[in-house]
Amino acid sequence: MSKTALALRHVDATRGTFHLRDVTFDLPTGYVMGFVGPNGAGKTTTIRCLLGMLRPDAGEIELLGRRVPTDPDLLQDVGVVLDHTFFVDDWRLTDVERALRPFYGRWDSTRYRSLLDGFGLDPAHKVKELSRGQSMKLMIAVALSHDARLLVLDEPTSGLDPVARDELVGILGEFLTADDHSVLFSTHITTDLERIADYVTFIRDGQVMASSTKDDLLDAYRLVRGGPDDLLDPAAPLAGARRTSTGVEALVRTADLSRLEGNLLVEAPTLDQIVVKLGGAR
Amino acid sequence: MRVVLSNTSGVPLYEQIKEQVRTAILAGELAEGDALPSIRALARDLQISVITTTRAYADLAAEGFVANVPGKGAFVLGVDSALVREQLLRQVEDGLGVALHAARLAGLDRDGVVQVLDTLLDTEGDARATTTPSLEGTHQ
Amino acid sequence: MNAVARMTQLDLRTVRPYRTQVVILLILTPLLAALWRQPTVAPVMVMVMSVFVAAYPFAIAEKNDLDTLYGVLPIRRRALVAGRYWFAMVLVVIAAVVGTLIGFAMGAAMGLPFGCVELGYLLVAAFVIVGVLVSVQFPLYFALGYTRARLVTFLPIFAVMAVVILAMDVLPKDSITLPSPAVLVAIAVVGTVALLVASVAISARLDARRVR
Repeated sequence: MSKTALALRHVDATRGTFHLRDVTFDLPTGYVMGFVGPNGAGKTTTIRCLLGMLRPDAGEIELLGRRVPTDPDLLQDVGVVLDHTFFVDDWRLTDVERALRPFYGRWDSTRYRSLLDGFGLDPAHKVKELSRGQSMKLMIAVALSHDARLLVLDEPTSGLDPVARDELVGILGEFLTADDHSVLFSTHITTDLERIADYVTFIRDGQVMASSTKDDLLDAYRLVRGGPDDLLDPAAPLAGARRTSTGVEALVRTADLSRLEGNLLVEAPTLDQIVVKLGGAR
Repeated sequence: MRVVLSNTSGVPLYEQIKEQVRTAILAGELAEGDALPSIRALARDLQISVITTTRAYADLAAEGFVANVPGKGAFVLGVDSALVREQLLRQVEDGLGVALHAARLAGLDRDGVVQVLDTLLDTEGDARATTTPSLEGTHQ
Repeated sequence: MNAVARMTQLDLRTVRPYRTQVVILLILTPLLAALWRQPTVAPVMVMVMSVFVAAYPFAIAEKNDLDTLYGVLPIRRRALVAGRYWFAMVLVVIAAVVGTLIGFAMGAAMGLPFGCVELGYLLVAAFVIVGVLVSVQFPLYFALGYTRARLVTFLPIFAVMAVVILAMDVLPKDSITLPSPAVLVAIAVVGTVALLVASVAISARLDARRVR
């Protein structure tokens, strides 16, 4: 078992007019990485490179310890969940199994049936009849049925109600009770990850702004709030400063705190606040 | 084992877990040799990250409350282990240090502090009828 | 089962929900042969119609983002390309069999001749036509995707139909010294196969270059 579930080193890639530049991060096996950033930041492009669907212009990519592109059999161990299904709409859920099973050496039919049952999905239903939340569960059922060790989720919760989003967190928690299972969860809804992410990589405009354990990232920044006359110095090292008639709120590196003046309220930020303040337009 | 986390207390999650496990051990709810949930099972049940539970268990092991057996999990160690005593005595010192600082600000002298201490011990003695490990009697 | 065969099987399963449509299409078409009172033409018509059905996976893939499925599955993209061509060939063979049976039944019902030798030549001719159509259309589908290619792919069909009709009218039957029928058939079959093989290679190249 490889110690790293996935690794990208200095990856450059182009998709249309969009460019990824020098993307570097890795996820140790057995953990969850939140891959966060605003819409259009490059999350999907990065994931496509990771899965071998897009060839990078430069850099190295490793999946489950092996260089990508490589033997496609590597994907036997990878499950993918997106914000839309990638099956024939008119297939019934039983047809989905029939179509996919020949490709996976470890497909477990019993597991598929019991997962559908557990998720409340009727095998006789067609893919197009599923709600958004049910579609997500179908993709998870498929991924778990071939015993995937790495789950890659790209915006799985967009369009989902909070109940379904919470269910996903529960499903992932269960998936991670095995220490050789890893998850890459890309989203722009950071609240989903706030609690369960072990690692966070923050991407913006095709570049990685930060990649570390979630705790380290949260420790590296502070949210500061002051009155309308505070933090007016344009040279102050603030990010995402928001001014109103009653005050100002901004993000600052913990290391830069001492450089700020004024009677300020300082507190630890949430992951969401970091992404919003660092990800917004400057 | 009962672990209830608060999102709003301001106390880091791993710290809360440690506190509650420590309390449970000291109160006898967890006996020597009891197995704690695995790091991953606990993370799943509390819906928090594995790194958080790992850190909590690692700290508890360093403090002498549990032993992490690779491949088997975490087990509660005897409460009267020397390491635990040392930890707890250090907590007493820290707590008293904070109290004395506040006492100084309030202008309390030694007698005033002792009075407060006696009152607290009395009310605590009334409230707790069970035999719990007592810190009296052994000064270091 | 190797990767290519699995992809062909996947294509069949992709089209399966629409099998009623396909069957109706394939059965109604040869009825035109009845109008012409030429039952031996039935298999030819069904085979040409099957080329339309062979394009279904391209359309369905585009509508359902199956490109992502193909990317997720543990297969090489090359296997997909080759598998798609074999899928077309499977359809053509099914069409030939179904068309022949229909033609035979038609001939019996209408009391028309159903010559086996004539049938044989027509099947070979049909194979050539189908082979040319697939060889020209598939690279376009792989390069441009179904929606954009569709606008262009009708051209080869019309071109081929035009050539065939002209050839049947213009060529006087005995003026050209043709090589013996067996050799002609051999050249036709081998040539078509070669064309298809070349087409697969071109499709694979074009497909690899396409940004998805």
